[in-house]
Amino acid sequence: MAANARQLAAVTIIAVASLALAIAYAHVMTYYPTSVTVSPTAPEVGFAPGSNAGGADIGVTNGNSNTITVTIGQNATSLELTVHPTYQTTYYQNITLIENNSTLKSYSVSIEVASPLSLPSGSKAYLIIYSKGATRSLSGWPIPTPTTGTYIAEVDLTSTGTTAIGTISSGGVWEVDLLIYIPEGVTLPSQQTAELYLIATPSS
Amino acid sequence: MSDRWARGLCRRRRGPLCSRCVASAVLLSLLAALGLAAVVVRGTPWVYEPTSATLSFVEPGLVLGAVNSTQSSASIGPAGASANVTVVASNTSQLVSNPDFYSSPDYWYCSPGQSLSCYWIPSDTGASGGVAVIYGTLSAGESDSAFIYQPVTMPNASIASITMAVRARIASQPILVNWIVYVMGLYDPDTQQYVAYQTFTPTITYQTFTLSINPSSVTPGKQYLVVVGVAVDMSSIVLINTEDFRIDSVTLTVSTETATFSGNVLGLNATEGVFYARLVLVGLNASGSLNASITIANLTGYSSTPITISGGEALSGATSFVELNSASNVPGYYTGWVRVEASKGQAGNSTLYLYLEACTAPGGAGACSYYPLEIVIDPQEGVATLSAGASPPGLPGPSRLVGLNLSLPRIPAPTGSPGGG
Repeated sequence: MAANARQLAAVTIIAVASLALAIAYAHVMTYYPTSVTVSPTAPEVGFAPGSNAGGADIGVTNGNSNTITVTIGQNATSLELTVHPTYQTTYYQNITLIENNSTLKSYSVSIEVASPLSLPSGSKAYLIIYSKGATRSLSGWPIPTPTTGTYIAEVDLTSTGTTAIGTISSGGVWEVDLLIYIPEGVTLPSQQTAELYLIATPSS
Repeated sequence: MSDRWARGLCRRRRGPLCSRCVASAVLLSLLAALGLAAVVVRGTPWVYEPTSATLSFVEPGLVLGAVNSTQSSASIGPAGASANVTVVASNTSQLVSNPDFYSSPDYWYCSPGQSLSCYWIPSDTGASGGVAVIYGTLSAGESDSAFIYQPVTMPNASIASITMAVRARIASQPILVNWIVYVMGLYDPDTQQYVAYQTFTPTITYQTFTLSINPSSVTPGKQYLVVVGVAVDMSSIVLINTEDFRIDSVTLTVSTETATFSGNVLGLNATEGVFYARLVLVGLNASGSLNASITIANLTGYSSTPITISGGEALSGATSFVELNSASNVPGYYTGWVRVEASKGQAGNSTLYLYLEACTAPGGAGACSYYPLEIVIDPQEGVATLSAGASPPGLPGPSRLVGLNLSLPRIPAPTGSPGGG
């Protein structure tokens, strides 16, 4: 290639690049004044201890009788439950409450199981959500289960997923029960923890 | 190209709006609306509140135990949290639980005196397994008595005959007493009177003594106490002052016109803590002739209200709650029992499906365990044929019988006996 030709090619490349840069920087940047105000408010849907919180549980640990431990965060927006089930079916009634403290809004509530329990084959573990003061009714044999129609929803703690619980009206209260079934003949599992989220969003 | 694009889109500058311009405007409006909608949706607050549920598994604090007899047998689950029970209803029933004291004094209570009390030892010469012992060292001029007893419930059917039998001996007896009397009988705790009794004279070797009780003197379905004991009045001079009365077995055999069963079918052992337990009937496959009563009782003598079945139909579906407290356990005894009284005239099995509901707080509060129980009641003609078994829990060495810190009255010596009141 002749020297002139190489010079022409170089000039052309520089020219194209310059044109591209010019186009790129040719955007007009317009600045509109905007403000974002964060106004923290007290949580409207939260947890409260149920009537069985702190109650006697099965068994003894380190010489002390076990209790149904319900730990609620300072702002009632977190919850830790610890219970001591045994073989066959162990049922914990009304261990915690879900409360809507809003005087105006209803909330749609779901529970997401982010990290499930790992239990022996045939085992069951459910959170069961009841309306306040609902009569409990178990049916079936040899494994009792809550009678359909007596509760709002149940959440399987042995698998991941999100369960839509329903709409809790302003000032509404739900009671939460826990059912655990471990078949006889298996080795009792080591301590297990399921990690969940209570998800709430205004629906009105 | 750019000239054509400019001409196409900007003709409105040169004339009326073209259709392409209108379409473009509509499209832009739709996009704007969708964008606005998306903003609105994404703007709804979703609150995530972290929660955890921790399960720390424990062995059962209340376990079931088998009560095997000639008329009942039980198969217990590997963790003691379920049971299958077979009951043989027969025309001839032996009502006393743990009649031979084979491995423990379970089911038996003691009405002690000042110096005399009741014990259990695991063996004795001439005895089968363990024996009950009424033992004490008496003082000059002392009057004292002690009795062993057990609640039994008469079958709820027409009773043809009742026979009580006691196999006993004396290992030591005071000398120079004013009187001493050995008693066996059937006691009514409501009237605080003996329905029937007799005195007998044991010797140094085991002998069997029998008492025939008039069936018309008892009420079918009513609870009585089977009683064996000794009363003594010491003289003012003491030579040998030790009373050692040993009882190898006590039976109460009842013949009925229909097949019946009355007795304990399961033991309940609270190993840790307190439980408030009841039975709940959830299923029934019964013949029309089945009449039954199922209760739960504890070591202190308290019994629940029954589950009642009449003519094959359940009249009540649950018992009342009974406290089972591990703190009140006595070696050799269960904390409580499941009792069945049944009568059945027709052939064929009747099957009852129940839960033992045991909660750690009263009124169904706390943690509630549900143990499935299946009870099969099978009527048989004649004497039941299930194999006899020991009554657990067994004891390795001597122990005391449960004393009479009960609401039951102290049992006196029979009226008319030398020591009677």
